[in-house]
Amino acid sequence: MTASTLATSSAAPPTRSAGPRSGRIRATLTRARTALGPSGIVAALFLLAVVVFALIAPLVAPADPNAQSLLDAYAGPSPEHLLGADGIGRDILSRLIYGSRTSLLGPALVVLVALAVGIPLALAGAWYGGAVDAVVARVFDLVYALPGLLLAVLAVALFGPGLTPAVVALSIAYVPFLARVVRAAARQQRVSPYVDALAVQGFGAARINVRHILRNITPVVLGQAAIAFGYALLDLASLSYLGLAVQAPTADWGVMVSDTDALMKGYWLPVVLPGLLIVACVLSLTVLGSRISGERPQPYLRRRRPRPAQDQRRRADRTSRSGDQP
Amino acid sequence: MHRSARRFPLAVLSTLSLLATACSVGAHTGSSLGATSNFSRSQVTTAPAKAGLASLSWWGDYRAPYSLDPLKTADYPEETILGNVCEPLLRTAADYSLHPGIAKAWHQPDATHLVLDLDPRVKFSDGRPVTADDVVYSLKRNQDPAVASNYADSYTDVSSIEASGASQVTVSFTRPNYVFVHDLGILAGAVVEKSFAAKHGQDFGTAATGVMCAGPYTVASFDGTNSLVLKRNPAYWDPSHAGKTDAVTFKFIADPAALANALSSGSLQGGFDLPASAIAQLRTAKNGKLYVGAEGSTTQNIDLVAARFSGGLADARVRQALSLAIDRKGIAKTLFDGAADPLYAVAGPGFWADEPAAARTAYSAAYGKLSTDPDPAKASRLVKQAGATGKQITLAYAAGSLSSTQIAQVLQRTGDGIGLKMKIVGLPDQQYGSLFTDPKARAGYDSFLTINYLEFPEAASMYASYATKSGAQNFNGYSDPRVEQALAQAQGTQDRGRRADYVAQAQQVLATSLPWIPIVQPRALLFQNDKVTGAPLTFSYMSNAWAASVGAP
Repeated sequence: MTASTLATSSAAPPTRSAGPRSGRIRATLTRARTALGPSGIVAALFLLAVVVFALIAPLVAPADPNAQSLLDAYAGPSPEHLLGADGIGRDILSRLIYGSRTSLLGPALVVLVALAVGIPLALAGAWYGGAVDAVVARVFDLVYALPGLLLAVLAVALFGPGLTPAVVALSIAYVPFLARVVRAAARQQRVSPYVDALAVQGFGAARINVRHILRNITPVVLGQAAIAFGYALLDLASLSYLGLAVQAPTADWGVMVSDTDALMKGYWLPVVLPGLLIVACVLSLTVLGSRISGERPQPYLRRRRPRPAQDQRRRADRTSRSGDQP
Repeated sequence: MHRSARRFPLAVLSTLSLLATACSVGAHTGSSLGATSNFSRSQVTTAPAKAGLASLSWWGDYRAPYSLDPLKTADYPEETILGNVCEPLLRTAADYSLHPGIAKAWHQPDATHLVLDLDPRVKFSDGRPVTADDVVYSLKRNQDPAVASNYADSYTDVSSIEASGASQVTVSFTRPNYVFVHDLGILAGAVVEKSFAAKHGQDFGTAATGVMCAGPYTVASFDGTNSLVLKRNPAYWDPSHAGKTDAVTFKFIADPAALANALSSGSLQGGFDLPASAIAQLRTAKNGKLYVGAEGSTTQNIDLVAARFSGGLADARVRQALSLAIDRKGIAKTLFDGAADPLYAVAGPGFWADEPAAARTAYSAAYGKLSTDPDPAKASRLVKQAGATGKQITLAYAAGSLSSTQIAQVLQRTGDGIGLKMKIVGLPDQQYGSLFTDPKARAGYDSFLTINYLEFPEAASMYASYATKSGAQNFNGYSDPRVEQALAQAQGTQDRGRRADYVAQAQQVLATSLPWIPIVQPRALLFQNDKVTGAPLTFSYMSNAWAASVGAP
């Protein structure tokens, strides 16, 4: 049994070993509710709904998102078009549903690629320290200094407009955004006694980093990834708005927001609805990211001072999540 | 002679501001607003100015001029502005008729010679007189590969340009030509000072060096991107045509919403060639009037250009099928808010609606034969007959142009609907612009959209520009002896009725071979602030010194 599993079991609440499967699910939900809080749960449910709609878009979209009828241009809400039609007569609801696919896929790829590149570098820097860490840190600083949008515009200029160059460029730009946090958290873990204990037992650097340090900093990584996801969504929507990422006629929220023609002619639904979805997703991801990584609302946001009992419970939560230190 | 288009300002980051904007404009629910013409064909200008102005601010179109050299680029920004600085040899009036300018008289003693008598009063803005030598030099620049004039194809038939007297220039042609004279009324006939141009070489026309011409205005300042200011030429030689306004500031705005706001708020006092999406806002502006022209009020034509005769569009039946399936009326009504009309031949009514009766009848009859409603079923059969079902056709368009983006999406759906596989590719302005100049840039695409025009209504010249071997816009290498012969005969015929017959012959062939597929023709859209007047209502502003007539009402 490794240190991490020992720690996990010791830190787990009593309900964890409650036996039946339903009990375990209930316990998990209870822990999630405690960890996320009401705002986090609302954010998570909203994002879950968006993801589900994106996955089953062909089943729930009332029409082909690219089907046109010039006669229906800017038609208002009706049984045929529940949210109306855009300037070339396409069903707005269907485009919103299908648009969630590209709007979520792009940021997901950005975050995954950035994590895949950033985590190994950050862990290596934290583990070896010295010159390796200095080089890694300076590389992060260098890339961090490059504005992501500018890098994406450059990539589009070189390789042409499209989602791929935009995602690749933003992935590079997001590496330090995620990796700097990973590195800082990993450096904290590196000097922990349990790491020395594992090393004394003869475990290798790779195993300690992947199976113990990384596992212990997972909440921090996930929280930062959620926030990065929100930023990436906004960046890609901006690039699509500028005509540099997702290309017409593909449904995409950023592309839909760029429909200035609709606004100038006084039709706001085709533009405002995707805009609202972008705002809601970014907000949800930010809240969720903050909650996962253990941040609490700032004091000035609280309505009342927390009661001591609540405070104690929160401290306990943090201890349990901070992991598996022996 | 093309238009690439604009970029939207970045803004998604301010989605909430969009919400506010959206909420403020209310929610219409349905039918197109529709633009109706509010001036007759006989009205070619707004009310004449009665007094001068200290300053005038005008929309200079979607970008700043690439160069101040009148020959470098033939596009909307250059042709809107530079005619005020570098006047052509002849003046084109608002009704497109030619009038004396730097040349006080001209005549064609025969079909292969054009003689121009220069006005001895004419001076450049530095006070030096315009000589026959300057005129010969200026016209010959069009034939100089080093200059790379955008009007070079207009000089294809020109064999020599010589000073035939102290104040006389003779242009000789290799074959009969009665349409070339129109080119001397646009920037293709702009006169520049020889010594100044020769001295500055490649720097001639840059923002830093500028130009030396004989127009009613000179360039006071140009920052290269956002603003260009003209000031009245104090040494202008013709008091009757001198500028009424002391200074004219051109601003370059790409975003239709920003443009509409600038005009309706008064920060810009006018603009030509406005985007259709601005109609709704400008129609209700309280500080000025939006003028909407009738059918054929411009020579503009929006077309799908076959970039090559290989690949998906190689078979003429596929091009015919695509043309047959396009819902031109729907595009004109929906995407242009009614400020456009279906176009069934590239040189539509805008090229001949004001011709003399005999010619107009001939053109109208030929055009009427081409008008047709969409027939997707027949189009699908043609695609099958051509064995092109499922073949991919790539279509490039200017991603920055809203109307182009919308048309491309409609065409994509149209093509897919008849069995083709249309792939549309939005290009940034610079990349899109290179489609018109660089064969390599076109190599990856089967077709591209163009918002085309000719500065004057001459159908023979329009067709010659893309359907003859020497045409500057013959991007796909199209060649048909019947078209070449008919257009050569048209250009060499003085009688306009007979010329129309020849053009109709060429047009009939082109309607079948379709190197360009016509889609719609936009109408004239001009906004003018209540504090100014005098702007032309026709497309004649292109290449001419229109700003000289604009002043206070």
